[in-house]
Amino acid sequence: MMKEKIAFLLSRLSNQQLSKVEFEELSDLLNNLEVKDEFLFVINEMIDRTHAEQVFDEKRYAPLLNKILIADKQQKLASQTPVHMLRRISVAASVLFLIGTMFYFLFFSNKSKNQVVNQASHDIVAPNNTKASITLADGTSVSLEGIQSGILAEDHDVVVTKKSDGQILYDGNGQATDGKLIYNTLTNPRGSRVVNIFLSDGTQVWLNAGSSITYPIKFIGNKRNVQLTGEAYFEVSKNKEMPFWVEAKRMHVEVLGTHFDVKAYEDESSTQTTLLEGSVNVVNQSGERLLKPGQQADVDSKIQVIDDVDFDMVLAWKTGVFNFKSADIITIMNQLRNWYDIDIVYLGKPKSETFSGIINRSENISAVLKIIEAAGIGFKLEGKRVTVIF
Amino acid sequence: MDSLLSHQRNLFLQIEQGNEEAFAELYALYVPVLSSFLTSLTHSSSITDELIQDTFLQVWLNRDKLSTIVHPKAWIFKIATHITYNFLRRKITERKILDHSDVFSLTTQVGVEESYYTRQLFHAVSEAVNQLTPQRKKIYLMSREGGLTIPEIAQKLGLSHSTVKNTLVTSLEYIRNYLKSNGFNISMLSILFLKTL
Repeated sequence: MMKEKIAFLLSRLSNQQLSKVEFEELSDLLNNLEVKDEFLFVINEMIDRTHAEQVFDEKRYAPLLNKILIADKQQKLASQTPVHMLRRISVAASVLFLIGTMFYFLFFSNKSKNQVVNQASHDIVAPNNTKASITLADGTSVSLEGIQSGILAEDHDVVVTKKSDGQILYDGNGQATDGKLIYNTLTNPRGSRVVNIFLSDGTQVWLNAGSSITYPIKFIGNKRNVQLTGEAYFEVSKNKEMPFWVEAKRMHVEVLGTHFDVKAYEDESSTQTTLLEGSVNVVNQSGERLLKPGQQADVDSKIQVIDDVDFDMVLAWKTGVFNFKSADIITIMNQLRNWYDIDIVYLGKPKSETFSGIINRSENISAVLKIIEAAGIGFKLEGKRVTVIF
Repeated sequence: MDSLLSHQRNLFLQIEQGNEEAFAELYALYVPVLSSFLTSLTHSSSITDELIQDTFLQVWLNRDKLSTIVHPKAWIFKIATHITYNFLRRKITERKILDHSDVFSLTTQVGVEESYYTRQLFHAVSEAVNQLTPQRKKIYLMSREGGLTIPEIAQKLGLSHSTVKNTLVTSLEYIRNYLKSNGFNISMLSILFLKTL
């Protein structure tokens, strides 16, 4: 009985003919673990009955295979046994490689100095925990560093807890806000890991280092408003009656239910909003633009929309790597500054070279600088200061 | 014995030893049918690709069990089934779908989100390997990067074959557990090991 029902719903799904009622039914059944085995049986049957329609599309699938095989390698070495089915990851002129502790780094220029970063007696290690803190409505500050899981604070009857995996959770059931908007601020300094927080409406925010976000402990009224400096990635919980707004330098972003990244650092010349899924409206004094998934709005005084953005690059900070694609040295140094909390001094005339590569963020700073050094730029590391020598 | 069946069992034996060529052949053998199925269900080439990748990543990460599998096709289809089920649960219950009659319409536009999920999955694998204890990591990397067989590793390190083999099995176990504890759940695989059709 149940299997037939499931088979029916899945075939409707396949034919893209699912009615609203059927959708709800399918959703309920998927949520019901008691019928999981029935689902598995039906799906397995469907696969069994499938006739392969195409031949193996090597062009499309060989790169995917390659990714699986290097997923658990740490070093991209030439394979001992060349395999005709495997393609090397295809490489563009500006080049890019690799996840892991080793990395290769190539770029346009063919200059190469052989300087070595002086093995500083103090190297700078990557941050291994978050140094974030929350400022409550009354101005008191609660540090998140080193606190085990449990209740962090209570503000006007709204409870803030830290889960054992480090996530911060706002319980939106507090009554004592009395119809007024009460704000807290989450601040994540430089040299700190990303902090993950759930606001009281269920919206999830990942806050990058060197950033802060101010938000109501409970959302009231017909708008949800937060303020951001720095960078954050949002997964906004859907609420048609209360559109979600992010206020940042140079732009406001209006959101329905969706996933997007906002980068609005004080010291950068423009602010970007990148949309992964859903729909946002980017607004500033020059006008407004509605973004579609895959687009990025780049804003200084005007709003410029870029298509087909590389999400891996935009969200690299969240996944624990540096991902540079034709990045200039200033962009790279800004990211290093944010992660390692360093001061930067530039000597000589900046070069216009661009760099591409993926580097694991867990490396010490000297390791990262060594790679860029191979590209023809010198570095000196003294305490917390990095001198960039062109 | 059916020659295709015995050929696939042979491939499985080789894959268990870490043979990438055998894995590539298995992959090419199954991609067409899985791709047909997933495309007919989701109508999205990017979702199809991601789910195929996830399926074969699981095959690869569970290669220490392959020599015990009596029915290769059933085993692979079972993994694909679980991954498809988990995907449907994830997509539909996340309620991102505005238009119920075209469940994958949003995700079809955005295929990139699946790419993001799979990216995280792969990154987690890399992290797990990085966290292996020095001895385990060494042996694991000799197998993965050096392309050495178990006897070769055993000889180089002056260890017994079974020590090396057990170490590799433990390492795979660690990787799977690491994925699981980071929310990447294909929890049926330990049961699968016992319950082949």
